[in-house]
Amino acid sequence: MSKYIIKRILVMIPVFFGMTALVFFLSNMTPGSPVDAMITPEMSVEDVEVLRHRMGLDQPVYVQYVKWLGRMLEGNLGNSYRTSNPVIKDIGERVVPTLILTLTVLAVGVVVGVTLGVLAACRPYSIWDTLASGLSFVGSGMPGFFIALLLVYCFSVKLGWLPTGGMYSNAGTRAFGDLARHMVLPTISMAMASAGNYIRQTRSAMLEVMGEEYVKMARAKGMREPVVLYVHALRNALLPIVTSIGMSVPGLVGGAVIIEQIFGWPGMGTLMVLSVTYRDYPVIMGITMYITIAVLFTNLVMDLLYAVLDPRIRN
Amino acid sequence: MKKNVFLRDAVGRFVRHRVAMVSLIILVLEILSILLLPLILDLDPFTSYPGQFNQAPGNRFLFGTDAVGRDIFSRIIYGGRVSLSVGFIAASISALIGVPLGLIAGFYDNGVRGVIMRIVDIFMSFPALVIQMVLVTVLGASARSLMLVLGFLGWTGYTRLVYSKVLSVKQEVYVEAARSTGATNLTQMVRYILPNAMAPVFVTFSFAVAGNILAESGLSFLGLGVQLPTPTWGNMIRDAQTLSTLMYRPWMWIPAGVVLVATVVCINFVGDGLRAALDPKIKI
Amino acid sequence: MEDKILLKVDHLKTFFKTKSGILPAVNGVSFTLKRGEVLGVVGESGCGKSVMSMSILKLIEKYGGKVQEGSSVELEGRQVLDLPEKAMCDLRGKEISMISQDPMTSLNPVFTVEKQMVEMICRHTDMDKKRASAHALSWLKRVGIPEAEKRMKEYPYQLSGGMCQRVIIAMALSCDPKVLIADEPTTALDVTIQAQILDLLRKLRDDVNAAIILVTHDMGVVAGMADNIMVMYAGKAVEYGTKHQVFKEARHPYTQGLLASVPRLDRQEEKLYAIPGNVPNLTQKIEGCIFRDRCTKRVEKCAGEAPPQFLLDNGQRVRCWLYQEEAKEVWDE
Repeated sequence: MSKYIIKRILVMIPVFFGMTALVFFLSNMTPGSPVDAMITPEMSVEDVEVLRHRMGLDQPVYVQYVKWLGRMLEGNLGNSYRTSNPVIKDIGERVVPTLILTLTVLAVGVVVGVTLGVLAACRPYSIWDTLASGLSFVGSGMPGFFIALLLVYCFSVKLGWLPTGGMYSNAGTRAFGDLARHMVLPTISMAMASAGNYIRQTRSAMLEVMGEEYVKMARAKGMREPVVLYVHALRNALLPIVTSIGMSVPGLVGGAVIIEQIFGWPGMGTLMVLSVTYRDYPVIMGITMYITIAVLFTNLVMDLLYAVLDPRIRN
Repeated sequence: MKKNVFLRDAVGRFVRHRVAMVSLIILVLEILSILLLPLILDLDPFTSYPGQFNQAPGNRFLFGTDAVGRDIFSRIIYGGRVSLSVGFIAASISALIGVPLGLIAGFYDNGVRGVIMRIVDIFMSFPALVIQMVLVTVLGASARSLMLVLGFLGWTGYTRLVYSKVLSVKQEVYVEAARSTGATNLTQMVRYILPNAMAPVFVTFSFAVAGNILAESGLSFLGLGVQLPTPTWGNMIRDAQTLSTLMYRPWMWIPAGVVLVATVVCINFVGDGLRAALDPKIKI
Repeated sequence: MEDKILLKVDHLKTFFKTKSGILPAVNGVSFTLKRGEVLGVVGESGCGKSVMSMSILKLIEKYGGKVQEGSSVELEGRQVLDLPEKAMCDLRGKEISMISQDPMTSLNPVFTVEKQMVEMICRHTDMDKKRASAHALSWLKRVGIPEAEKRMKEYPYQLSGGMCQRVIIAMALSCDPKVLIADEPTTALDVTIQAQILDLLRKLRDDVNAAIILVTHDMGVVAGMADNIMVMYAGKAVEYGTKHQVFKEARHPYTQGLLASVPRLDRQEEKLYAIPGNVPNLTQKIEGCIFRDRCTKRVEKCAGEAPPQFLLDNGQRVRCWLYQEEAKEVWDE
């Protein structure tokens, strides 16, 4: 079992380097350089050169990447070209809001999606089945941003029940209830697509498992139907369900970018959009690094979960 | 002979799938409108009509005008052109990259397989939107660059699919027979294995088109996709980010959104229908 | 051996609603079973024997089948088909147990052997987990599993096919059922393992004195074990008799065809015999005897009316017009 974990961790290392290198080289290829934003009319060509040299921009790209890696391993991610703050600080104050949002969306999506999926599979043609199909249909067709706009239009503008954006009301107190109110619309906007996906995956996984021989045997043994469905069948259906949840996590991170933008949520998503617009390499690289680590970590957790659920994997 | 019976069966099954048929009809009507209406009617998505800013839907403008006086109806029709062509072409590029890679990865038993599938893993584990955003800044934001970006990032689904199909088909007796009569690797892959993998490829293709349309609209919504004045459903919805537009001028963004959702949903249903039609085991 | 009738199945009919019509998978099957008796049910694929097994336990309803009104299954005098689902669950595994065709997939892959056996034992008895575990262990030893303590903690994927089937047999018998339905228990196993499993069943039958319904398509399997044999075709019983009667004095043309199809090592044969034709499409109403299209001995009457089962002097039953004369009486429809 520990061999399995170590193997998974070893695999993550080249992925990390690959991903960060890729984004580094790509960002470098963008037209225009960060120096452009700093040039003033008084500066001569030599001054610009000096500036470029000081920022290390005159060196070959791979050298710059290695230097970046070196600094990163020391914990220094450089300073933002846009705000001049240390990148770690800029990103740091954004990590928590994004985490709160993303984790909530994941939790809500999984709970709603898996529950409805199981109910839809176990009680075909019932109200649950219809509900599940409906939600799945909405989730797969409607982009998160459109749902978000509709929800804001309906609940904030017309009905005034919920705030239109931001994380807290301006009063400054960080009350949980206030946070919760601000989270409702962004969470629903993102969770609809996720839940729709999980419903479909869960339903088809359950249906497949319910046709298996060991489920028939469990019934023949005299086990009551709830035990057959929720102990024997569901337990096996969880394997493909967990796999698809794991595969949906990168999408969640991406979706967060758009939703954060709409709701003015002070998270990494809005920072990313700003940084891309400003060609703020250090921040772009910093966010990429965070995301890569987060994704790799999630993969590892999923792998572990899989090993816990499926005894065949443990060897 | 056999192929024709299979196709005939598949078409029959598709037709019986009512939702898919209805969706297909809607899509065909939509595509026809997008192609033909500009020829019949006098549609102009680019001209600003002075004095006609922010008009609600009325006699002259079916869906009203936007902030600089452009006809929204025309913009939706033209936007459809952009969105659909980006979706379609990007999906084709992805298929052209992904399917051969999947064939190779499945067929060759050596290190090549490991390398390809590992790259697939890496691509799939990274948030697509983030890479798309970075690439778009490199290539500049336009419909053409989006086609390339989405196309070059979307191949992994095809590869995984074709890979697993190839693995299972490779064991079949007729492939072995072909091998033993001297067929080259390429012939084996293309003539014998590929036709069996094509059915799920078509299904994936339709879902990919829908996904690309959503992705394009997301990027355009953020301002990182197709740039104004070229209309696309995504950047038309972008206007709704200002509170006044959101609140007081719903015609500017709701029609575009509805058309977007309807198109994507119909494509998804057609994809479902294809899946049911091409797999005899699925009951309709 | 007691002479009381343990299980009485009467006019059992099960049908499926399909797109092309109603499919009567089991079309009026009747038999009785005494304690300690082994009934072999033989027939080719699609004859309805598995559906019949699942119908006795009312399991077929979960898989789209419907047991028809008028069918009767009586266990020690009690009507089983009328029982509410809760009582049915109590009966399954405790009074009537079933084992199925593929042992490798009949065990839940994510639970240990111990867990699956203890779950069943605790369900039907009032033993606590510890005692149930010990009971399970003793049964594993009884079915001949070596290193049973180790095997208990293992997962199904770690066991071979034969071992899995032994576990399943142990599990099925662990609550002392009165009837064991063995639905093709050896079909998915290698020939040598088949023999081992059949030996095991024989030995257990003597020890445990449960009645066994042994369902199979393989005449060789019933030859070794059955006391009585019922031959099924297209949802109906076409012949019934003791083992000797069916093997040595087969009356129905179908049975005779089946016996002739068995390849023999002790005879020189140019061609293997196979019954000509195919099983008919049961969704369509068939006039006359269901076997007539494939029957080498058919007469005019066969096309007109479907024969009932005739009871012969020696207790044998045949569903064939050829025996109307010598029959003592008509046994059933």
